[in-house]
Amino acid sequence: MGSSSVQGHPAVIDALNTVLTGELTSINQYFVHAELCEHWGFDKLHGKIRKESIDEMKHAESLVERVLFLGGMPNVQRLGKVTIGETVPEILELDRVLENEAIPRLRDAIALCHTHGDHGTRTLLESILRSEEEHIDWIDAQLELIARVGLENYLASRI
Amino acid sequence: MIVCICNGISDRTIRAAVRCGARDLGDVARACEAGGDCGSCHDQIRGIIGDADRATEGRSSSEHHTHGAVSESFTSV
Ligand code: FES
Ligand SMILES: [Fe+2]
Ligand SMILES: [Fe+2]
Repeated sequence: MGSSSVQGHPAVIDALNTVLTGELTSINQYFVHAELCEHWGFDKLHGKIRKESIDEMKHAESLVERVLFLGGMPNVQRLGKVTIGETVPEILELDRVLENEAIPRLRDAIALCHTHGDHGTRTLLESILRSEEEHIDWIDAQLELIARVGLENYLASRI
Repeated sequence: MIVCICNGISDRTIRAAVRCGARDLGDVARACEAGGDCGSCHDQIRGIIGDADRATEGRSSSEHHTHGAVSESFTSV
């Protein structure tokens, strides 16, 4: 399939597909969460969470590209569990859960790339890992803000 | 939180079904429709049933569950 001259290690391709499943799951969960925030009138949260969803789509795009480059088939059929929050704190916590699951998956995949000497894939996964770390940082900052100023004040600042 | 996306059913509704006697996936689906479609939520529903089972065992170890006996009075939350 394709004209790629590079043949990736099957284990690396599998790991990329596992990471891809997580990204596709996040795209959908964050997309609905962004729309819910807009529906509730929290325009600032809508903008930020929508951007996070699009970031996950960019991660997915680079993973699909990499799998094809390595001669594999990107698995866009498989999706993880989406869970939708019914309140803003719940949305933040549920998104944090998906990010928590993404980090070890990325770390394992990075270690695997190291084992198989696939530095190109490792570099890609490291950039995704940094992006997820920033995302987690933002979520944690929101949760801390809620704890510090109270939910009502926090929400009033997110309109 | 919405656990069953296909049917828009929350964890609270599923917990209520379990409180009313639902003890497996079939019971829960009959009681509130959760889990009756794609099945992606089955692990989470099993987790909720497991929580309830553990809580019950904590209270009385002699009590026994009867399958399929979801109380008629169950209503969605
Ligand atoms: S998410 Fe519950 S049946 Fe699909
Ligand atoms: Fe991502
Ligand atoms: Fe993320």
